[in-house]
Amino acid sequence: MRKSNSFKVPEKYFENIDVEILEKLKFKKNVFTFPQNYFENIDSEKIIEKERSRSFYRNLLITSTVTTCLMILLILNTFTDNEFVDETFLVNDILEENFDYMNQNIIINRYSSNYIYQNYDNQIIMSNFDSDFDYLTID
Amino acid sequence: MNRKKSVLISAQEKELLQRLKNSKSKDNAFRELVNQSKKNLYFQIRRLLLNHEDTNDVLQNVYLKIYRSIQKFKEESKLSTWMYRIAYNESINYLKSKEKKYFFSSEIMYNTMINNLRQDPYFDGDELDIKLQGIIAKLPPKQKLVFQMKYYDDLKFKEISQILGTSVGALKTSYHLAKNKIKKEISENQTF
Repeated sequence: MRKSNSFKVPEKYFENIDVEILEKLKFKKNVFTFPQNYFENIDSEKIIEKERSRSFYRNLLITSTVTTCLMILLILNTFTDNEFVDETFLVNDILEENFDYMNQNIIINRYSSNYIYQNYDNQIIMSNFDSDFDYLTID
Repeated sequence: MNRKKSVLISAQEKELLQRLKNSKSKDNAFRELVNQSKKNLYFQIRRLLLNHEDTNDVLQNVYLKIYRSIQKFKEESKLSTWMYRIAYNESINYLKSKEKKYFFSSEIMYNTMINNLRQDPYFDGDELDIKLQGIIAKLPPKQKLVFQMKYYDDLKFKEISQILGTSVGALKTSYHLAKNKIKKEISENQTF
């Protein structure tokens, strides 16, 4: 039977084998390869172009989002039910001077607005200049 | 007191930075920067991601980020350190997004990445290299990064500290631990 120690190894060979392997690997750093002409084909122009188109689309997105939001707000505002004033209460209020309607947009029904009132001896004349001189007289 | 950190930036780097921050000369300076740094950045990313295609994607994103945010660079570190940090963050984010996308745990993902090296046409290592990559990949994140930056890129602990935002003392400990783990694993796996 052959003795296990028939081959001699340098002193502390096994203690240092891991260090040697690491050193060997360190010198062989380029285990990672890449396609031919890869680095030559990295083009800064493409990167700049990409960034510019990205900025363009980002700005476009921001603009369209803001526009959409504004449109939604406008639509909501247009279709929000306006509070309108009941005619009887209005006349009473004016007559009793409970509330000064002068310079106010008075809406007395859903389809009319901007009534200006005049008070002639307890006769209220409401005129709407938006709709062809529409007069409403309340005694 | 708010003191600006002083770093030794070469005159050449200062001049390049000035041109990068000037909108008129930015594109030309960027072209120069890409040419100077593409190989270094590529291999820094590649060591974390292992595969060429992923590295290429991340490299493009890194350069996009650099182009976009060069104005925000405060010059508190070297330009290369700042770029390295962007590359490191982008690579880590890419790995995290991959984990999420494929519902992988970190361990499964790293095992897959290591196994894929065997069929990778752009990997020129033997079994020992694959084993080393496997051991490095399974190190805790900080130890892995410190080991790679020190071992492959020969960065100084001070530079690594600027990139990772960790104290030099903690980095030295991490490097020591990583080195010992790798030595131990290599010795255990070595067959004679």
